[in-house]
Amino acid sequence: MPEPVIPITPWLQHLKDHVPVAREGSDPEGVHQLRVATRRLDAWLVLAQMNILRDDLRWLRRRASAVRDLDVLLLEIKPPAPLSDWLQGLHDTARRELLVALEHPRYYGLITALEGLPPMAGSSARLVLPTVVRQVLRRGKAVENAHQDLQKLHRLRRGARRLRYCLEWLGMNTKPLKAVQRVLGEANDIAMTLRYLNQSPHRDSLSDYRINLENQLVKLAARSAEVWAASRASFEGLA
Amino acid sequence: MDLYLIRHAKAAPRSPELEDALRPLTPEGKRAFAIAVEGMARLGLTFDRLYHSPWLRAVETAELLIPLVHGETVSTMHLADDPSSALLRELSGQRVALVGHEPWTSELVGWLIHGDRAAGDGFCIKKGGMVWLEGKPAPGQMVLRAFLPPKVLRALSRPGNDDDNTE
Repeated sequence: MPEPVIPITPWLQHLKDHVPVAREGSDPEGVHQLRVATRRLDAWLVLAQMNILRDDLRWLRRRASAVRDLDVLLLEIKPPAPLSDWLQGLHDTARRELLVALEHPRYYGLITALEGLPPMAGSSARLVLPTVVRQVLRRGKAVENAHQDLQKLHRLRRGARRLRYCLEWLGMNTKPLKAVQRVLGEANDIAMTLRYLNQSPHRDSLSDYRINLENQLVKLAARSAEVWAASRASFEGLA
Repeated sequence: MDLYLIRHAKAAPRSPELEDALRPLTPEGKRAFAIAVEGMARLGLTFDRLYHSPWLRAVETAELLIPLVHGETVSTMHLADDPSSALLRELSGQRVALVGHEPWTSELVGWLIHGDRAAGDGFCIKKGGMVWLEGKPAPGQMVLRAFLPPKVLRALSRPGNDDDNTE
């Protein structure tokens, strides 16, 4: 019986399908799915123990993230004017930079290179999983020791996301991680809003809004630590 | 800039069943190039940027060079084509490695040293071999520092042992 293999094809196709939508720009889902695909593809490279191409994916993802983060702010969080007007200006710049990236020889090089990768063996991919799990557990421990530390929460969020995508590639249960990711994602959205507000020229004129965000963030950080503690045990056995 | 032009390691032969861009390194090609990379390490080589062709044999060669890379890796279509000004404009860094294909790599060497792509005919880079140039990455603006065939790179990995005839 041939050994099961895991082709990179599904998420590579997902990326290619959404690039035209991202380029066209009227549906924010295009950029969102483009970014989602780069993360899944990065998880595949982690499982395949490949370092090459990860910088290219990061390069593309940063440009997509600059647009997507501002989409989330403007369409979901909906900050008040004049902050929203200032953010719209940043969004327009980020979008122009993404369009340049999607025509760059590096983008076409990345796609061509990913298309050429042979499927990875499922058995060798599973051997990598404990390393990814242990990294998340370490980051979780750091949050437990200092759950109000936003940097540590941010690192846990990214690690948990990578683990979830690795588990998806391996066809394993991701439900507990989805709950962790959801609450950490909410905290991150508020932290991101605060970060933009503090960089903007409107920081002082929107002090009530800022205080409200800071209070939300404190609650979400505490909630994140609780959800993490409740779900940790469900994948400790994978380490 | 110190520019290290590397030809991909030994790959599966051309075949009607396999698209050229999808030819992988052979197991022996991987093994031999991993030893050549040890030789590069013994020379103290590190790269702050590595550019590579997106074709599979170049991607796999670039992966083997990762221990020497202390910066970003970049996949570019410019290395799966004739050497171009667009490629030279894209290059940045102080110690830069390129992984590509023949005859383009030799043509690039000829162009950078002599300002003439045809001068590349005088350079025959074997699979897994390396050419070290120094200067401004512009036509006719670089000088040759070293021409290192794969056999020499492998021998460098084991000082005092020159009986490695693997090709």
